[in-house]
Amino acid sequence: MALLGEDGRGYELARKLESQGIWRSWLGDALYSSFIPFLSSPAAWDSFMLPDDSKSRPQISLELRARALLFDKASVSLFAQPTALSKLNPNYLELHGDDVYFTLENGGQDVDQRHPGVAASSTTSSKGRSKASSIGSRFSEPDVDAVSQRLRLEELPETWDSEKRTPEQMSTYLSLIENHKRRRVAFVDNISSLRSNPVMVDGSPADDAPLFPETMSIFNCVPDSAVLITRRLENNQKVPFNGVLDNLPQTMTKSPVMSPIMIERLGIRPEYLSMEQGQGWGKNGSQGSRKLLSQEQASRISQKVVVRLLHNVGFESSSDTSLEVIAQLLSSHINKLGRTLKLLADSYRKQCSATELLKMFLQTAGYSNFRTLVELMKDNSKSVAPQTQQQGLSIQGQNLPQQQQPSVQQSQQMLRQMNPQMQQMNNPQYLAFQQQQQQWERMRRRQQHQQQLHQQQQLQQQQQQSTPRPGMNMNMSIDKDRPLVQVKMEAPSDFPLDTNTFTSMNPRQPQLRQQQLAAISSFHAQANNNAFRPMNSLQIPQIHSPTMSMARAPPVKVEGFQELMGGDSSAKHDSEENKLLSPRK
Amino acid sequence: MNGQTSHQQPKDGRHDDDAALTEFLASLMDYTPTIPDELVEHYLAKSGFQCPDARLTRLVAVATQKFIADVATDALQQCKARPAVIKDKRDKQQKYGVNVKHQEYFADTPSAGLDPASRDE
Repeated sequence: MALLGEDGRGYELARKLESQGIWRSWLGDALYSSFIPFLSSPAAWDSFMLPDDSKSRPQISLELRARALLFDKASVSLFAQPTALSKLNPNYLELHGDDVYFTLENGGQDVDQRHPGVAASSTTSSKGRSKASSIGSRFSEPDVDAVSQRLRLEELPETWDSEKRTPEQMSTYLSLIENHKRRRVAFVDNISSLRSNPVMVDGSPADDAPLFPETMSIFNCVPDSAVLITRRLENNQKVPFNGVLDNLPQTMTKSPVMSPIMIERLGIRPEYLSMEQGQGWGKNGSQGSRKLLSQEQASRISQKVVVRLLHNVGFESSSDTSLEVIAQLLSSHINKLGRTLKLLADSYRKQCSATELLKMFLQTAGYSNFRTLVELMKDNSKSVAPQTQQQGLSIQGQNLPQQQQPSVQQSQQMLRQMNPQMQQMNNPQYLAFQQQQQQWERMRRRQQHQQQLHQQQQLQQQQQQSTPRPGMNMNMSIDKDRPLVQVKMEAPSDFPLDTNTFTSMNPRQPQLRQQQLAAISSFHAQANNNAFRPMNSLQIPQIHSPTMSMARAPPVKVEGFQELMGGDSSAKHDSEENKLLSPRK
Repeated sequence: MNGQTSHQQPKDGRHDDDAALTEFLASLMDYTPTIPDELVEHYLAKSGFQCPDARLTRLVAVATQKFIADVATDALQQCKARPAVIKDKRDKQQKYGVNVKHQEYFADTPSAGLDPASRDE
């Protein structure tokens, strides 16, 4: 630093500061009196500034304070072109109130820290508390004396590591310097006097870029506009979202009626899934027509359900309060189970499969052994199965052929009529109605299966004979455009019943075939299987009849078959051998 | 050989459990619970869970039905047992000169039921 002279001790600068009375302001009267003799001659000044182990601690602290002021004023030469001491602006040498003479982080510590460059030579005296405090009191002698007494030799820290600024503190300090400290003209050559805006030092514009890169990122984090970018929200397409429990394992039972091979070959799908995997009976999703309930409807239905349940248990009557309480209990329990399912699905979506999640759910609900649930279902099925077909709730989604609609409508009408009488559980007519309804369902299922088999038979006959066949006297819509797929014959052992099925396709034995159809339908009905439903794609197995065994099932009488077939179902057509005849009574 | 069989047994057991669970889910479709599916779906949606598979809805319905049935059964048993217990207790306490009969009426003020004249006094 040129301003400190060639020896670097800054005697001339010290003299200049003394000429403006800076030393008295800086050191205070007490220390100033001990300091001023050293300014009498360069030799004395050299002895003052010369580091010596024989010096006492107060002398060393005084020297450090003097060095700090000298360095602060001389540091301008670091950023400016080398110039003479005479060209220093007197105003620049003065002590000003907005100069930072303290640490920003600890207001309690009255350690005098000037510019970061003099951090190493930080003095022990303090010039004030904060910029907010009065400027004059900063230089008050009592404060200085008190502080200097406090910061005695014994209290000086061994190391100044605790006074080091962190990068964040340094960036704050620099920003404070940049934004708030007045820049003063150091040299007389610059005409501009005291200004608030930054001054052009050494002829070049001040560097506006932050000194530390970490401060740049802070500035860059502020968005240009408060309005969010809405480009992503333009496409409001419904994205199909499948949860982990949407695709539960499909049934692969080993029942004699329904085997996995039959599912694959005949395209028979479980009824709880639509043709698209993962969707229910059209209840959810964009295509579903799910019936939504309001809160009032739900509470009313809950109470009716509770009535039914209490009756099943054995209660003869109950009060309104207890009904409400148990209805709330029911809704709370369903909510609880739903929350459990949601929690499990969200938490273990990636780790566990749907089956494992179900097991966890059952264990959480207390039904790890779901045999109890199976027994409950059996008990309810054996006894009068109370079905809560409430007002406004249709029979759960099944496509019924047109012929069955009158019977279904009749059952629905009876249901609606019975709704006001739901409380009278001991009504024998109600019990009989329930049994009759179950029987209707069984008969309906049988007829559906029979219709499908009839369709298959007719299509095959059309293929073989290529003669126009008279339609049966049934309101069926035969889809003639259904693709026919040849299916390999399986081993007879895999299909304990299929031999009967295939032989029923033999066109040369219509009567026996019809009986076998009835046998098959009754067998299926007994198995309580709803798999044989109208399908979009029908696959008919191709039979190599001569090689097949001709085992046939004995004829089985089907209850109410005449009713299902609509009275005179015996089609009196041409005398062809491929007619389907109703069984003789 | 033995190690292989012992290793296969847990897998077989797990497979059997899965098959049993799958079969149980399939059987749910053949059984109509007392609680309608719409009601169950309504409350499940309130709790934040939605599933298009009706088997899960029916599983929840059956589980809830079992829960309510258990509660009602216990309540019925308590109800049937309660009069007998109270009667026995009452008889026993009368032996010892303790009257535990229910009060005939309840009064909310000391002057309830008194004549207006006596009440003024």
